[in-house]
Amino acid sequence: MSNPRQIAERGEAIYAARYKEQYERDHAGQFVAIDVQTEQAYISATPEGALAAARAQAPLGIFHLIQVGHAGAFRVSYFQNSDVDWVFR
Amino acid sequence: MRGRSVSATSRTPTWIGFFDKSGSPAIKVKLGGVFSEGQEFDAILDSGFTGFVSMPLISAFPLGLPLYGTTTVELADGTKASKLTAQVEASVGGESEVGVVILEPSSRDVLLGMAFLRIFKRALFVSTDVVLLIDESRRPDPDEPTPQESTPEGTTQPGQNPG
Repeated sequence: MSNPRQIAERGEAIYAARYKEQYERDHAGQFVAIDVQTEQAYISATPEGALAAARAQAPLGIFHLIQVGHAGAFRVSYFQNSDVDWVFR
Repeated sequence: MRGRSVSATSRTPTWIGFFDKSGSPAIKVKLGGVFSEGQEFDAILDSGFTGFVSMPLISAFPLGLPLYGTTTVELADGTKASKLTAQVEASVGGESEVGVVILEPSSRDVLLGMAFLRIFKRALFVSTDVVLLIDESRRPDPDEPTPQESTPEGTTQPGQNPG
């Protein structure tokens, strides 16, 4: 894993395979930090709580943060790589 | 006037913000790592951002923020993007809190989102000429008379014929 996309894809894959079904049933809306090296999950009501728990157990770990049942852990008000050329074609 | 606190009462002090060059509500915030000296930024208050802080990756390098890893964010057009995350300490008016910062490779703005307001227990008030971050427990009083109700007798009400 050498770039953020690969880390994120690994985290999403671990979550989908091991945790998603149960967490969407029992922990909707909570935040999960996935250790992409050990595949351990740390869950909390807040992003800070999940990552603090993860960091306490694995100080050198690399974590992917997910919000259970949501497309992303956060929503932002902008978008990237916008291509408006189609307007003038 | 930028980002200062006013009259500390028994409640949480009110922070006074400002409008940046683009007209967005903003506040001065000091960002840094838990073990590093921070740096002050003009940060936009963005109610469309659900996180704590978002900042340009290049601005984060000198701060030495401890890296958490990654997250997936949902963009305004519904698409998803992978972002780096780190731990950041944000300070305003003598108060400090630790949260998650999203590191943006292609942004120039520091953004403060709804989690920033939640963690600092502030409510955002914006009018045409003032930006205030007030104690979140201070809610408008529903029993307070509306402007029409408090208008003195003899003055014209909206929709009334003055003649």
